[in-house]
Amino acid sequence: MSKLELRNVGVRYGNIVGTQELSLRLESAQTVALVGSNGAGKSSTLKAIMGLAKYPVGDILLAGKSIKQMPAFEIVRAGIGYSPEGRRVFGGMSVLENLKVGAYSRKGGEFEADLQRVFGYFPRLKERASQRAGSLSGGEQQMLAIGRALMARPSVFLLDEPSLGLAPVIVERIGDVLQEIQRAEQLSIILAEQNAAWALSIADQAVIVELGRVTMTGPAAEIAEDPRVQRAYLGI
Amino acid sequence: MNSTAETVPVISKVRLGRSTSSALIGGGIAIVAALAIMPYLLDERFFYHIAILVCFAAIGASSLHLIIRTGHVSLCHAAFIGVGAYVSANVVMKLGFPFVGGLVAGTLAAAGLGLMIGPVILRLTGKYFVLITFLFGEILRMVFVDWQSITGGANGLSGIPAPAPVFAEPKYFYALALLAATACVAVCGRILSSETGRFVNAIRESEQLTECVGVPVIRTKVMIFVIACGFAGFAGALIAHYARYISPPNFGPLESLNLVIMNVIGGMQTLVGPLLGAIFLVLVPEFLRGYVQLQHIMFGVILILVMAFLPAGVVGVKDWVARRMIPHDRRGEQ
Repeated sequence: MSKLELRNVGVRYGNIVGTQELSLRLESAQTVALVGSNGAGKSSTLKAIMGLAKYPVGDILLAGKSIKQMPAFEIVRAGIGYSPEGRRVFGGMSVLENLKVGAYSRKGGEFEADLQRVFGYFPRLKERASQRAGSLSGGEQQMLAIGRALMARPSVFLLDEPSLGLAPVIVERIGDVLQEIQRAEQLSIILAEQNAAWALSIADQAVIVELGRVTMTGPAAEIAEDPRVQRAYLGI
Repeated sequence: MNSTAETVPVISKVRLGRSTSSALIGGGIAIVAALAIMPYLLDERFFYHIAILVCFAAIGASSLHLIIRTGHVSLCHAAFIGVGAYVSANVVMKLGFPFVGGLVAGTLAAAGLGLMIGPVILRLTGKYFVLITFLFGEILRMVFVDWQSITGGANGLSGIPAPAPVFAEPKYFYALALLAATACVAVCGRILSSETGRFVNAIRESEQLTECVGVPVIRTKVMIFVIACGFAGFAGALIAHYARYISPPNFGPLESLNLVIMNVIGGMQTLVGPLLGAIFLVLVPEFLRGYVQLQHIMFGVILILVMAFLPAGVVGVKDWVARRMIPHDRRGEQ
């Protein structure tokens, strides 16, 4: 049984199509890169999983159980962490407060231990714990968004465009930490990215999305070698 | 709401941090003590009356502040005060319950009404929420005017008894009003400094992000709304049994707007704001009594000045001064 399974998910915003009959599987402790151009349906897919976008058609199963009817906060409690695109942190709150809010949905466990674990991955957040999150750099805000999601001890983690607006060297660092976290926590990750080269370099599996449909799927290393993908997304 | 928080970085510096909260509690006790003594020093009926009005305004404004902190500006708060007032007056006068029964019934009625409409209207945000609360306030006002057997219609209800014979004297009622206001402000402060308060701040910044962090946004907003409406009803019951006469204009849109203005002038980012605003909005009309024609013009000018230069309200004066004191080249380090 897959950790997370999307079956023919069709997201609609009024008359506008978000995704069409989109299916994909995420196995346990696996990173899947969701690659596609602007408007291909990557964000819609993640929003559908989080219950933020309605999909009259299709179903989404977490560990075999449908989460279609659940509101977003219950989906978080069921074990799916989400770092949205764009507005990533609560800018008016301190770094520590952001992490405390993130810990809310967690059942049991020690807050202090989780906090140290997150600070272990991102020492920079510890240094800036009392600083206002809005005053952090873009890279630090992305780290905080990841850390905040980890505070809830998710088993599945969805990242929407984590590289957006960040310097290449920061993107590389975040990629390294993501891989480290993925191994240490046995997380299943879906990484929705326009930066295909980076996403494919850290993912196990890859899914290419075009016009709301899956057009190609396979191991990330193989997809990266595909001539069509190289032409369309890797600029080779 | 969100955009102002973004563009005015000063606002977010004003927060109820743990280090400042104990200072605030100490300061609060000092202020309450001073307020408790002050009218007695002056010992004049008029001052007791004004002080009682400040207490009522403080309960209304600080409970509305809870709703405003979630990022929603309600324009029907005075209507909930009216619900508490009419329910309490009827429970005492028609059903023969003592004042405490009316107070509890008025509080529960307003909270219950909040619970009924909250889950529906709190799905709206921004200007749509303002509009629908304005309309809901108008509906309630029409109920107050038209349901004559209960509300006395446009003539209002008169002959409402004082909580107890001794409280017919403003001197003693003031103690009751101050106690009520202190309790209400303390509960609001406790809520805002708790974990729920953190969620409230998160919701104001971004509802969607808060939901995605695992916080039940609607449920939290409804809870805050119900508490705030309950306090409004509580204030209403007190008002009814102090004024002894209530009529629909007491709970109309102008009164609701006044409660919002108290928050705007005082400052919408901390609980101190609505308290300053309440004092300001009750006292200023008293000082301007000789110039009734000018009163609204002065009000308008003051409001414009505050909004233009002190987006964080009177509370923000400290930051405004600090910004001007710091040399230009060092501002980046702030």
